[in-house]
Amino acid sequence: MVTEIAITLAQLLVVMFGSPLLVGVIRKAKARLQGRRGAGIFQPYADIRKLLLKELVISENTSWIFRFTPYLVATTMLLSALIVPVLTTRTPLGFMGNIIVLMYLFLLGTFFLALAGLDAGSAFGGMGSSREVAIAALAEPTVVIAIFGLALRAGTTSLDGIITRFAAEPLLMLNAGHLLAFIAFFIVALAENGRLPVDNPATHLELTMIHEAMILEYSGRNLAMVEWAAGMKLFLFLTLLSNLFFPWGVALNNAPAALFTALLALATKLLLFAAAIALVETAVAKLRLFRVPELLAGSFTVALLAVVTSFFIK
Amino acid sequence: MSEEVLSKAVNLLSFVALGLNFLLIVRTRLEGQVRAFEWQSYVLALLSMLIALYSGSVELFGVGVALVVVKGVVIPRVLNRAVANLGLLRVAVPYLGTAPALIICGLLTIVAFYVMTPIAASNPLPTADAIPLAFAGVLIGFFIMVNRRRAVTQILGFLMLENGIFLFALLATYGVPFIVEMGVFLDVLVAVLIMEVFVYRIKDNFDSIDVGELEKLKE
Repeated sequence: MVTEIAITLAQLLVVMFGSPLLVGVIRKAKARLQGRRGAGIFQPYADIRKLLLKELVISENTSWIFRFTPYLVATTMLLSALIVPVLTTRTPLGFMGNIIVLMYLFLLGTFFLALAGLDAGSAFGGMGSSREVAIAALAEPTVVIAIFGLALRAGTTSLDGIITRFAAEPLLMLNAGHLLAFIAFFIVALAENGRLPVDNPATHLELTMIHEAMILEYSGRNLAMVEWAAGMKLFLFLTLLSNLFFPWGVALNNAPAALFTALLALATKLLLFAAAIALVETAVAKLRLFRVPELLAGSFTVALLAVVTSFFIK
Repeated sequence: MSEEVLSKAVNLLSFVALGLNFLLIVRTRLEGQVRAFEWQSYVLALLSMLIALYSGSVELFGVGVALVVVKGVVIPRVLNRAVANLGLLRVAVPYLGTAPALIICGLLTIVAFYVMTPIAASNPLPTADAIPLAFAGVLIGFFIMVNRRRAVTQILGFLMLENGIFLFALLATYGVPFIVEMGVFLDVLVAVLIMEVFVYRIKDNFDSIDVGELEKLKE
């Protein structure tokens, strides 16, 4: 019992305090690739601290939804952190959720953020919400179907089960379906987290922003929470990418040594993904908004192919 | 390396090679198309080296190295030179647009599976499972050749077709003898060089590399 509580806490702490670091590393790598010096990798922590200490300004026209949303978004992310196998496949709440539950948790956050964007009645919030929802509607099915491509071969939709199966039989991963699912999932991970080429997290340029437009009305600790939650979402998506597709190092039991190895393995894998994202964001230009559906439809097709090939190619 | 690992790896790499065929159709710029062919050649070289490692055949390893040199380095260079000389004509103009072309290639893949699965099943080699993928590559190479209006992309279609045939032979029999393979490489290289000259001539004579122009009578 005590170890389970300890693992729950450890997993929460890794996601909570790892996510700003991940964001910082991506920003730093991007800056270096673009020939800038960039802020230190611990800058996001300082940003969050600064925002937490700042005064809260809330428009008089908003309803309870606007004040409630930051807490809800942060809570759904923390809940997801308990379901995603971050360090170990014996996740505390792993029994209560598979990829479908996880997807709905993410979607619940997106839904309330979109409502909050509309709540203040500003033009930007509404525009951001409508764009974010359009992209989410196209991206969410791809996430689930890409994971189904894996689930079909592993014989289970539970995230823990998929990792256990692949860790036991690495040959299952040497498969076209695995590659296709990975490509599809990587593209939607970029889209879901508002990275290039779908959305640019670094600008507040009125015509191009999506996520940033939606949360424009937030300030102080509410903004801190929304940004922290966005960081955690990115962290969780990259964790899913690294642990589901490359299950090496994930602890299969709850021995301290295995957990420590898992932490090291996770850090290495996330570092590689951070570098990959920085590379993509440096090399690729932002897509025109009306071409984003083409990209997402493409990734959806790839995900669908990943499922179909499981029947064709052994 | 066990038989199962080889079988899986070959399946995956053949699939990547086929995926690059599709990428060539999606890409609209000629540079991107040449790069798709270049990557496909590297994938095939990797495949042949993998099979060489498994079967212990030195000749096949040599074929892999020659593949990198001829189709991975020399031919893409020649093609890029041709593309650079074309100036504004650098966009491929197919008869059919991207979406219908993709659908046709999907159908061709299904046809390949339908025709080749029994043949693959009768082949005892561990690489035989991927034969339908190689055959799909051949069919799509043909399709690219007839679908493209511009001479350079027709060359690319021809090269993809040739890659498909090479892959097919590799999977079905661990490759044809070294001397034959070298002869084929040389033929392909010379063919590409000659076609490059043709492209220039067509461009000089018609101010276009649209092969449709060739059907018109001139005074």
